[in-house]
Amino acid sequence: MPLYEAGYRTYAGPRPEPRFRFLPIIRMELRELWRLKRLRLPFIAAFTPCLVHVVLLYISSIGQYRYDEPLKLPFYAKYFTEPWNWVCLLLVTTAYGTALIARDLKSNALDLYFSRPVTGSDYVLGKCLALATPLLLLTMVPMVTIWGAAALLEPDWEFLGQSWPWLPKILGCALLVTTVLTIPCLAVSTLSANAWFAGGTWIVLFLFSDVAANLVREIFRHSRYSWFGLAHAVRQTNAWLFDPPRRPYQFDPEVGAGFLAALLVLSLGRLWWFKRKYV
Amino acid sequence: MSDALLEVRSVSKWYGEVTALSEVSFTLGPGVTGLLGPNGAGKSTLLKLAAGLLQPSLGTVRLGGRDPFGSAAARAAIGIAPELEGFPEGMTGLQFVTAMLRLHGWRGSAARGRARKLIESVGLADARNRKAEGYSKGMRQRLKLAQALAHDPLFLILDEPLNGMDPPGRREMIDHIRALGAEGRTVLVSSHVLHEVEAMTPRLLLLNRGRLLAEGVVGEIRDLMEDRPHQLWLRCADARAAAARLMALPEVEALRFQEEGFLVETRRPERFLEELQARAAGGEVAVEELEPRDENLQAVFDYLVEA
Repeated sequence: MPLYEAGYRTYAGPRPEPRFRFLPIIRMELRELWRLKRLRLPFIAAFTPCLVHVVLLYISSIGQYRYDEPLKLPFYAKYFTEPWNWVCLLLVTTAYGTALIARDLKSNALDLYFSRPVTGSDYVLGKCLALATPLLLLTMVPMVTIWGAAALLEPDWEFLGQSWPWLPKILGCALLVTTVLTIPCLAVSTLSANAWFAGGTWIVLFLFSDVAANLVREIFRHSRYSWFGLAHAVRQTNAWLFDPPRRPYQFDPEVGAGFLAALLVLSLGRLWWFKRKYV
Repeated sequence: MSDALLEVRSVSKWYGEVTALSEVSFTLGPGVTGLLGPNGAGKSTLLKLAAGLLQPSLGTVRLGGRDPFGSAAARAAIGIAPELEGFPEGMTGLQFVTAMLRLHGWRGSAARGRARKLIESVGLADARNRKAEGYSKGMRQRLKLAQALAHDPLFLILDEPLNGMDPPGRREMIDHIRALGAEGRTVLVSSHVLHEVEAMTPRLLLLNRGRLLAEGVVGEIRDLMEDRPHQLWLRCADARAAAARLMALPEVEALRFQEEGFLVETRRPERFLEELQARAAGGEVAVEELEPRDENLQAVFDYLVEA
């Protein structure tokens, strides 16, 4: 009996075709993430600034010391491109993200996935979401926590009334950082079956763009041409998203956003080419 | 109506300028079929094409009427045990099989229960909660078979399933594979160890340098090789006298003494055996032992690869 008449048929008879075939892939990878001891430190480190801000807000609310940074909009626009947070994200993407596909290439596990009712798109989507989930957790949770603490610890509800429109912006900022890191990181992961090589390539690309952008800024003594630094472009785009009174760089935010869009298109192209080889 | 599950029609596959497979055509139905060939013959490429992991450069592959490369439903009917050395890090055998089942849409306790059953069926019950990366090679082969069988597939592809197994394990695995074929599943087993394949099935696909040399049962393939006389080894009470009498038969092309007996070459083995039987009954020849020497897989394989 042809399979197209029987649908998804096994030896024991027909079974319903599985839906959301990327979900088991996310589950497998998150289980792996949970197991990775080397990632515990970056995770703790990523939440440390958030805790410091919350503690400072608390001290400010009970004493003479006034700490009001988290009550201002620009704070959220630059939060995740501050060196500490940026390095934590770099460590997580390097230790976990760049191995996501490289590891499967090395162990020939792709044969196990693609001989099953899993398409190349399911696979890539599953891996993307498996990386995006912890990154979103690392970006959104601290920002929302700080904002929530600031709102709760203020003596009145004025800050909450004024700042609730910031929430969708915080979400947008977290999504931007997550997307900009997830898709290029996975694209780098497809480059080699050696996870160390993929990780090294990612660190070099990640740091090189910012180091080169800083050099250009030093040479020209202005930041009009430093849009190709990943952190610079993200920070300027976030500032644009939040619309704070002063932007951190002199280049147009559209240029920074365009650079990020080009990076995403290039990375998506690489992922599309990769998945096209498999179904 | 044909009961063939897999149909491969005029398939060629090349990688750049290297031709891995050339004009290969065959069909596979229920039962075990051995895929044989020396290293570099194109076995792995053929298995990947059958599993929908590769697309042919030319020709068509159909599994139950569908292209396995483009159809998730067709691939759902496939169970594959690839030549896989690494397993997902940190996963136990049970977790690995459960995860593979989830890719087929199995959920929660049903997936875990099914995985446990399969792990037990391949003899890994005691090791199911150990990390798969710490398994021995033989245990890995069993685990690969368990995950391939987990979703109850119609078509099984086993790539070198006996590699790294100890002799009792090999026997057990061979029995298991034969039982799967007897159940009515279509099983394609790749190997370069002839006697192992011979123990599993007489049905074969012989590949060499990307070409399909022969397809069918060993004996039938041997009968088709008309340019090669059949070799029969005989041990008789009075070997010299018996040889002289048999040499006179028109069916005998050549005869030479070998290992306490003599080897007869004939192109008409049935006719020769009739004559031998008649002479033995008449007391002219006292046959103590008779053995066909080139109707085994090794001989057929050697002839074909030499040709």
